[in-house]
Amino acid sequence: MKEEDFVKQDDNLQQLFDDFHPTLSDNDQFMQSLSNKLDAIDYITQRQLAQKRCYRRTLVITLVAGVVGGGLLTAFALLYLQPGSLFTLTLQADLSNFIHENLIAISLTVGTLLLGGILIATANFVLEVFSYRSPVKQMKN
Amino acid sequence: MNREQFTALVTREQESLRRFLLALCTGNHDDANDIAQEAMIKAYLARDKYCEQEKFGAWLYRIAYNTFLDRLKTQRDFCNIDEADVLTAESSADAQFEYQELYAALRTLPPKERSAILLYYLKGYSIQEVAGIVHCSEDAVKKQLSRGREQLKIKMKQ
Repeated sequence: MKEEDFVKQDDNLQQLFDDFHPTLSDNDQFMQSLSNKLDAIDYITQRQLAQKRCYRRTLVITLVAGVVGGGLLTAFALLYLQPGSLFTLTLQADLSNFIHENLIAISLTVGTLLLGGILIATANFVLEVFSYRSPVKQMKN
Repeated sequence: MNREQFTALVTREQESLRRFLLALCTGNHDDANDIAQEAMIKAYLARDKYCEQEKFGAWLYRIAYNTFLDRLKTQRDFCNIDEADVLTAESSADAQFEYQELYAALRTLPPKERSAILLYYLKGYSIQEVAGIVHCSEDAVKKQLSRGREQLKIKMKQ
């Protein structure tokens, strides 16, 4: 059936809907209510953006700290540490002698823990930023 | 689209949308206003996806129609929709005094047919536009219009 046929056959129905002018609630009140809701949405959106920026900044700082820390530690190990036994398992009365003799092992342990911690923190931030699910998006769904 | 542009477009469309939703909700002002607000909020959140080649009105009506269907689905979880319709219709001044006959006739139509009838006759959209709004083929819309029209005629004669 052609579209025009619908119109031709339904003059009465068309008239019925043409005359449909129900009384609606106040337009200004409706728009004010909508405006208040949009204000709330804008506020939440801005907070989310600020939070995301903060996460990104922290991520960058952590990455830079990890790279710089790792670089300094490697440079220190290469420049100042003498090749020797990795670990000497003897009782030392003098702590400084113990540290001196096991400097490479201690440095590597501390460096590994430091870098490991930084990497774990970085991974957490990356996951948090990329899997970040905003409440506004949840509202949309 | 920024907020000012969105608000300007919505201000222009809101009265017409609310009238459409009032008919769709068969005279229930509260439901119509709630759906209108919800649809406009959804539209605001999705405004970046709005393609300016499309009519803003049609886009907004599509969101409102989907919101209406979602609400029906939710209401069905709580109570029988026919009972809900009777309850809401009785609580509405419009349903009691004005357009009662029309609302009663519209209430007998399934939501999809009701939407197609209202978009076509009340809003004046073409069959192609109605099909775009209700996510149906043009043939399906023609069938919905045909069935809806026949049923409305019968009910309005009674």
